[in-house]
Amino acid sequence: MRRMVHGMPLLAALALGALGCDPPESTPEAEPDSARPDSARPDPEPDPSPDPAPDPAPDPEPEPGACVTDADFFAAEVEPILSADCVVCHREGGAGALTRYVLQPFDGPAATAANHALLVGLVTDHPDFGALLVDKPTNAVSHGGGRRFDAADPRATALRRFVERARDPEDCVEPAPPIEDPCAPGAVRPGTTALRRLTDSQYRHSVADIFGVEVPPGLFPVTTLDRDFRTWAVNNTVSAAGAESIMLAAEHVAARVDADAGVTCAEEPADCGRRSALHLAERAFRRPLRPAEAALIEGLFAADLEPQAALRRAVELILQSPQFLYLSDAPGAPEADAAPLDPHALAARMSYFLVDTAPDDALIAAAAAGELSTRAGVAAQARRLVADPRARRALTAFHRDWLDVWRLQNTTRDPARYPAFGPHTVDAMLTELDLFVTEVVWAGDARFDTLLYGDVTWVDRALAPIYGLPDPGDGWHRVRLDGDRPGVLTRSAFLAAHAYAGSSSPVQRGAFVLHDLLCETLDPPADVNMDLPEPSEEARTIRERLRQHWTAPACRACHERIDPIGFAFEHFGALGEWRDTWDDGLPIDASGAFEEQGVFDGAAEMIAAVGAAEQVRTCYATRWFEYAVGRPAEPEDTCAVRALAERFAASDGDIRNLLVDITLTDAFRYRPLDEER
Amino acid sequence: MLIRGTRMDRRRFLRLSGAAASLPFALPFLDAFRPRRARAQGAARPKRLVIVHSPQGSVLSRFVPSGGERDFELGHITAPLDAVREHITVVTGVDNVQPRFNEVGNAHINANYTVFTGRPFLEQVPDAITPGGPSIEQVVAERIGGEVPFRRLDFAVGGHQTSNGLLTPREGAFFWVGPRDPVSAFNNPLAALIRIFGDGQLSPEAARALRDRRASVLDGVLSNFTEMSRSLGAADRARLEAHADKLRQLEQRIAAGAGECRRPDVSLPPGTDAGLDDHRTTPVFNDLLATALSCDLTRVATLSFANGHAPSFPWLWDRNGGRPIVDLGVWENWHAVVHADYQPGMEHPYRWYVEQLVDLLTRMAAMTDADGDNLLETSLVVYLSEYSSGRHWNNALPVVLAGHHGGAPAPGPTGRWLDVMNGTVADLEAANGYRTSGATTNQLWTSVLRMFGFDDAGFGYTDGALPTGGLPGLLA
Repeated sequence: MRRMVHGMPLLAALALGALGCDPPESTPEAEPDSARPDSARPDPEPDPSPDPAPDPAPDPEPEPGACVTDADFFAAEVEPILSADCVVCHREGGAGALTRYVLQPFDGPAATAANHALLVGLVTDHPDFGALLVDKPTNAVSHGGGRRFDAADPRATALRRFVERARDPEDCVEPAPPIEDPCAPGAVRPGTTALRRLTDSQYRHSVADIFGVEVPPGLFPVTTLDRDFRTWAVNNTVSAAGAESIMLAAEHVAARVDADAGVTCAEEPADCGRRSALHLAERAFRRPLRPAEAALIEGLFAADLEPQAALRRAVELILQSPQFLYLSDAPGAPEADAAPLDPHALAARMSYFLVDTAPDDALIAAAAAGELSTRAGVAAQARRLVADPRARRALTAFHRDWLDVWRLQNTTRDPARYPAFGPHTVDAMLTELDLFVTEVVWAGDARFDTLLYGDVTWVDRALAPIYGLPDPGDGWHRVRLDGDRPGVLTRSAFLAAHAYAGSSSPVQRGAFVLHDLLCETLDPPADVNMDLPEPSEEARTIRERLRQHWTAPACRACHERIDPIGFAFEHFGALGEWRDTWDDGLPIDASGAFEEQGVFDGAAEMIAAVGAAEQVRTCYATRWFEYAVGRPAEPEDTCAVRALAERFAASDGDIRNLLVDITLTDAFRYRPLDEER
Repeated sequence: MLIRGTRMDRRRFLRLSGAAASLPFALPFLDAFRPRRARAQGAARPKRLVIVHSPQGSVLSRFVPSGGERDFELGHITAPLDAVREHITVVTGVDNVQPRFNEVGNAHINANYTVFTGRPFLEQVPDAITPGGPSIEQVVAERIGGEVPFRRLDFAVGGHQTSNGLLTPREGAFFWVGPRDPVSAFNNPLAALIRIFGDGQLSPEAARALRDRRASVLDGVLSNFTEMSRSLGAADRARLEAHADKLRQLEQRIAAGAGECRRPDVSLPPGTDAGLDDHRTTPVFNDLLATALSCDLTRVATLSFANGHAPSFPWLWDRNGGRPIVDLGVWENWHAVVHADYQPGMEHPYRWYVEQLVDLLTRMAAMTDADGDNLLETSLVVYLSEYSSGRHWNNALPVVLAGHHGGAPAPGPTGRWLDVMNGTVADLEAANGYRTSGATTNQLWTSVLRMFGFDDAGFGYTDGALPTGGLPGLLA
């Protein structure tokens, strides 16, 4: 089964068992506290029958140590790749005919020579082409032909070598050493790291926990939510106005902090403010203070200020300091190819990931005692935090971001069609989502399948009509839905977030399934006209209008995958309400197919067909990983994500266990060695 | 009640003695009094740059004037500019060519991230698309920002409302301090009023105490930035430095105080929704912006219409025979409407944007700065959209320049239509937007730099092949 026509970052590589990955370390203690008898997870074996990467087929085989000319290298190492993966589109009349990279069909030595000359010319004349020759087929850069192979694939390595040779031609070079196994055991692969500012909710939770003051929303700069996850550095930049917001928020807190915050002052009232300030700073900076940091605070109390005024300035100072506002990636003692995070930095990372706030006493104590230097120690603390009620914050934050329900903010609906819709409807939809996620993941069995197929939800008076339920009266009510409404993808928040003011959006819904449930790359090319044709006699329904748009090959490549999945949701209107016909009375056709085998009619069957794909679990694990490490997954993470996915599958999709496993990955516990440091 | 003469004397004394003015934010202001900032003898009079941006293009056939360079007749969409005709230059035919250097991203991010930066993406990676550099007004702000309280002020009309009245867009961002540093804009007029002009509640003594405390705390905060930077690698240090730079701006603003400025009288009808009621909020934003310029609170400002996706423009329905601008039975939203060829009614929002520009220009024409100079005389206002048509056309952008930017270097004549289009609008339509003129936004921004006295050879990325220098024919 080859289904990777379009790009699937990381996932394609996961199918390449030939790369041989670090088997996930067995952590027998990694059972969740709530583990049920049937959730025992065998240590997964590497997949014994993976789809192996086609061999680049070096032919003629060079003698070891023999000289390989550029032409022979091209014919032996490069031509098979171009022939199998590129020329189908990148040829006259092909889908890639308008790019600068147009090959001749490989039908003999003349074509080989011509293609070799073309590629050498492109590499030497265009500074960007060499990188693109690798980045396009691996879909590191969006590729109309999707991902052909992974960045760790031998084919990518062969292309990189070709580029090197083209840039620095030699008649003969020694054969390159064998390609290294990118997942060889032993190596630590932390990927990149970027300094991250606390999100607005992490800030508010930390301030409440450490300073005992609630910060009203609207003081601290908000986190941008238009894409990806709120934890990513790009969503928490500080603008000029934002710096002032941070100051105003700090002043709000400082004016309300108790004189003896965090310390007991009964025995020594004189020095109370100073000790309190030092204690608060240590908690806010999440580690022991450095001398300069402590001196700055001591200085305030030595100055000509009333103790209460000095404390107030200290709090303002602490809350605007980068040691509080940014998550430290401080390294501990460096190892060969990476440095473990300093234990206090790791504790903070764990705490903000799992409970969205600063480390608590137990975690700080574990860090100070060196317990976080072992996997078992990290896992023990992670399991404790996942079971903590505060974990609900992270669970709801992740799922809101994953499902893109930020789209509901400031949304409007056609008042003619949805007269009852208002901001309260949106609030209710988000609350419903939070309740559903909390019930499934925190209070319930935490199984991914329950998230995807569960039949329970929560409704209030605003939502009941959307589900065709009678007025339930005041408050929230737990209800069971019928089989047409499986899981989170048929809940109102997701459906309404992927809809327009007056209509559903099969394209947005279908694209979500491909991009965020299957982790395929879908980036519409800049030049493609995405206008939907107007309704006409020939194309009355949205399905027919979209089908018209398929006449253009550039549209078709994506839409023939997006649209059938999106149409499966067509029984759900712009709020997620059930409907049997389209507005003009035409019957809804919600049938389609996913891959060859998955024929479906309606959302429930579609979700079952898509949900059966292994990639769905891998993708969900990848998205959680990205939320946790605050950046997109990178080629360097391939092995870690594969191990996570294998354990996630082996645990029957236990989400709580997945979160614990993520804290054990290299990217979470290590940072790269920084030569400039 | 303050005595006018006393305040004046005190302020002048502080200026002359080199101390920072100690006046708090937002003192009540006597209309007869014009704040005069002391300038060093012989220093150039301040110039100002304003960018007004409206999203999703225009209807070019109704935007482009007809007739000759001086005796032109404005189109239906540009007709409101007749009221300020002697102050404007309509420019047609400028192309944004930067998207062609990009390998990733959809049409909107390709236009949004390039039109004001003049550069292709820095990071050509789907999950991490990054603009290529600062946008033009930031470059100008860094060079002319001067000793004013705000290096720049930014206003966004409508769209997504946040709890703090500040919008920091990402994919929708047009204005950038740097590749990873989007500008945030006030998108709630009341939040903007209080943050820029103060709440007017503090006594002078309390305000002075607040200022001293903030200055002292910021001092400590900045030393903590230095302390933390010591242990960081270069990339993280740069992130921290970008933040620290904002704090230094804040520190400077606190030291300078807000000056003495008329606090604009903001009144909005009850129930005004700052996310949707652009017709109510735009005049307020225009007043805040013009007042801030006149008081020299800033010398660089932007005003952008932030809801390009699903505005419904109900206040324009009566111009459309009472019908909705967006028929939701046919179109998903405004975005979908403008993706199509011309649709009846589409011109009303585009003309309305121009009317808002005229409202701003009219306010500026009626205000003077601290030197008594008319704001339009000392300012350059650039209006443009990132597209010429909502069909993602990057060529022949609709551009209006207004004001006289202080007169030196010699401005070209205003009251003018500079047409550098390649052929007619019909030719562009026939080519489905793919007809280039050879004149680029890079040249336009180079001209803008020259209007502010900077003789840069060019602005942004030119691929070694694109024309450099200013826009031919624009400056005298």
